[in-house]
Amino acid sequence: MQTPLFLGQDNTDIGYIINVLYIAMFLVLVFWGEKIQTRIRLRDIEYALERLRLMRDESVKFTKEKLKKYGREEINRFLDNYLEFVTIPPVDMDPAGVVWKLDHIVKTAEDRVRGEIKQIIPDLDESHVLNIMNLFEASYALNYYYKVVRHYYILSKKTSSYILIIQLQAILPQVMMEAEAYLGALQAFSSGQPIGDGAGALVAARLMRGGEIFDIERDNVYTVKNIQGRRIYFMKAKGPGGAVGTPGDALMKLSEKESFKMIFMVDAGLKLEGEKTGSIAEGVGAIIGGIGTEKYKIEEVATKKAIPLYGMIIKMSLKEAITPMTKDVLNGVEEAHQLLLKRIVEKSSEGDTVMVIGVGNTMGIAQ
Amino acid sequence: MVTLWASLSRRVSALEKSPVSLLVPFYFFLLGLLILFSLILLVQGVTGTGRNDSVTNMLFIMTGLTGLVSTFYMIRRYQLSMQKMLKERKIVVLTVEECSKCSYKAVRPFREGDYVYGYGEECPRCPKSLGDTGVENRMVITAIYLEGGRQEERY
Repeated sequence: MQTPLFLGQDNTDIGYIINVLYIAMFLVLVFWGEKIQTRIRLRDIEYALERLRLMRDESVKFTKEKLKKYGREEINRFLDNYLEFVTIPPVDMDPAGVVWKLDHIVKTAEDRVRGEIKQIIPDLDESHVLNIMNLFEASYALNYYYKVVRHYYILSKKTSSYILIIQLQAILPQVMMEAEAYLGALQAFSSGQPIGDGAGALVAARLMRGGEIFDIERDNVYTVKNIQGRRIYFMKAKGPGGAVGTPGDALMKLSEKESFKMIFMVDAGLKLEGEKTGSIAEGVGAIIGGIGTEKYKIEEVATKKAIPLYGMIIKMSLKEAITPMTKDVLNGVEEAHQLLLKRIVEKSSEGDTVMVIGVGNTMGIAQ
Repeated sequence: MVTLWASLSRRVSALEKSPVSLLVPFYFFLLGLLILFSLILLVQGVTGTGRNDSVTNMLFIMTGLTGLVSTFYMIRRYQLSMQKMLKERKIVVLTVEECSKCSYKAVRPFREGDYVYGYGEECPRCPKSLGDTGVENRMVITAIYLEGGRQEERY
């Protein structure tokens, strides 16, 4: 039987051409293979970078359109300046007291932004100021993502560093996912809709209903209720503006006059891929995100006074955390609410004083 | 209610097309070459040009057919991805209102100014007392959530 011939194996003109092409392709791949791959990868990064730029531009445009109704041109200029706003963290060579320094710097930054918005639009109520701040933060985040990716793109192009390009390309899907989440968050922030991160605050709000509301420290509210002979303090950030409050400061103040037997905390937590949105995880410790200053204060109080810290997390993705609250998260809130009441009764005895903190952004959630 | 998010995403998707515009013709040019090459192989295999060996002819036919099938599969995939991209993402946020007197529950699209535990519309069941100008007859918003239950993931 004759061996079958493939293109290039027969001694025809086409066969010679194909053989030459094969050899040429081999040589090209040997000498310029990495360069070709670099070009292809850079093209992918360029495409993602372009999308990030569009997202950033759209968010800024959207924010400015939303602010048009206030009729103040200065707010647009302030937004442009805010995109380049920097908050310098304190020196941590001597870590003692660094948390208080960081807390001071962060509060100063927040005060400054809040003050400037109020100065530009004096008749704006507090909740709208907070919502505008959230809107600004979404644009800030998108601008930051764009600038960082652009920095590494230009750097890797300049240095032709294949490793840098691979690293940048590897993290791009995650970056794009987060950027997409921030783009989605604009809608919720502009119209004051409750977001997934407000799950903890919503649990607290449900438990606070009917009680007398007191303000405490910056942007916090609390109420005291009697449940089956237990004196329960319920605390959350003051809504319906997009505030996260300062539960650490409020707890420090309340613990001066009350001796808490235990502290319960409820917060939204990032789920791992494959986990169900709205599922509950119980645990111990200060369940609170952010930069860590509030967590530190809560842990300080709990450790000094030997108060057990219990908590539960309502799981969700980053996108679900910063976009309008989904039905799954809402179901998780209902479940956490029931579970929390059950745990309070189980863990405490009659006559005990218990603190319950609903952590999270309370946008669109009053009390 | 088609929310602003949907419109924003559409605008970004529309703008996204600009950097791809050069790649798409090149992609289709390559697909065209593949179709041409596959057809040549198929014709060579069927007519048995210059060969009397049936195994070689069969190989040519198989390669040509594989090329054609994979090209049409790639075109279909592109078509589907385009349809998916152009499909509108309708994001609907709902407000749940409850009457504290008669427990009547109503669900309606979210309106700006709504917030959980704020006041909603008047209860259609409870009779309005004369001279009532306050919030006595109004329902309380108990939940605001995204219809559909989950966020659509693009990745």
